[in-house]
Amino acid sequence: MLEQDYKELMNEVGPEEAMVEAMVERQKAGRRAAFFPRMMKTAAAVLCGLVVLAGGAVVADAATDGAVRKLFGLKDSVAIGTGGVEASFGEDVEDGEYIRLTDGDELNVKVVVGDDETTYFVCHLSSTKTTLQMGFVLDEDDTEEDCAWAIYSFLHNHVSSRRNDTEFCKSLIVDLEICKEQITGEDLFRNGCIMGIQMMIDDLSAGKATEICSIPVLDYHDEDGDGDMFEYKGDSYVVIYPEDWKKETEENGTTEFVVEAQGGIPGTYLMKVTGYNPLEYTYFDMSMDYSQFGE
Amino acid sequence: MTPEVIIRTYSDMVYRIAFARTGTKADADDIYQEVFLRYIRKQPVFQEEEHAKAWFIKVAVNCSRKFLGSRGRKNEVCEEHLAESGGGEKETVFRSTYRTPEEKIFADERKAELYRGLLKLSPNGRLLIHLFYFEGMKIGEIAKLLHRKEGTVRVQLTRARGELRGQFETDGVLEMLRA
Repeated sequence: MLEQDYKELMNEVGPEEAMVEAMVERQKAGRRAAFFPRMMKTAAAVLCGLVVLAGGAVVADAATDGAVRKLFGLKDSVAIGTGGVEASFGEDVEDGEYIRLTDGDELNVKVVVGDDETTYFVCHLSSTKTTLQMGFVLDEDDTEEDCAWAIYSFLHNHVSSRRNDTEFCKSLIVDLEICKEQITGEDLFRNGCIMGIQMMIDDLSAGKATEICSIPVLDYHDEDGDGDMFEYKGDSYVVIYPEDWKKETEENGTTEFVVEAQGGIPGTYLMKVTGYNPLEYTYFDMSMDYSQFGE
Repeated sequence: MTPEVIIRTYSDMVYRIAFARTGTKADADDIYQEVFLRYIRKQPVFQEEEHAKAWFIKVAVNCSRKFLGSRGRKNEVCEEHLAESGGGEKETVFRSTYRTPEEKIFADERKAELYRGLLKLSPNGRLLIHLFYFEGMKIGEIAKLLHRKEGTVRVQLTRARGELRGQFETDGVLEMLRA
């Protein structure tokens, strides 16, 4: 019934015909004007390619290289083969472009434009011992918080299985510290990325690790993670926040959450928070007593 | 499909998503135009209809989120509109034969009740209700589109339904929600 009533309601909704026709006319007009901008883009790409072939420490595409360099705080970098990449982060980037930036360790960034207008960066962060592939999806509408969570959640999930690998964690911290130290300014994405990386570093540095379950990937479009789920050995659990959990954690150093099982072992369980991120993003150390699950 | 046909094909869908998110004709108009201007500017090539549909849904969601966020109007606009629209008592002026979505909705008390209830949800809750019940998308499809976990979408949708249920007092409407 809800479905039927909702459909009847939304069937009443639609754009004015005049607005649709105006858009169609605009499309027709746009087709006629598009030819010339495309020619200019191709000319720029050819020019960039020629400059790269000439050798030397050349920034083949200032805008995108600058944006990516800012993203990871690398100053002395060489961008190679950006070719037709143009404009700033997240806009008008050619699919498949591959940029190699160096600052001690290599940071390889592949730019992929998704079919839903998002720009997806696949980052190969190399150290002497390991390589971490990091990818996250951002678009020009994302906020600082979105960026932070995108990086944090990806990194967190990616390294969760290697938390007890001390050497790996140390190498990762070193790499990320380089990024953190060099990033300054008020750029939206830089700040977002800093926060994400800081959260990751704090987590690893403090030894806050739960080798048992994965930290939930919190929906960064929500104001908090209430209602988010996590999995433990194939079963799903949802977190229910107590009303004043932030205040309680700050004052007492710990908070107990109620966790409801969606599957697996039914019932409610308590989860203790022993860490609270001062950046005030929804983050907590899931030091949960797994014995209550019958382990 | 030619670009002109694509615009006509997805106009209603885009507009409804924008309206579901914002709750007003004026805002939906702005978002509709922004979405299709982006389409005209980007000229994406779609391999198939499902691809095109997903693209337009995603861009409509992004544009509406940006719109609501930039003006700090997460739910404020809906509360204002709710105050104006209470009980269908607002005077209706027909400037042309076109009736606004709000005018059509308030011609029917049952729909008006549901509409007022929807306006009290968060934009995210309204979006999930719309994608699930009107577009007929599955939880997994919604999760993939919005880059969220399925469990998260499931919980959020359940929560939105629960909030709607909590708002209604009349048995008739409760019966509707129980179905």
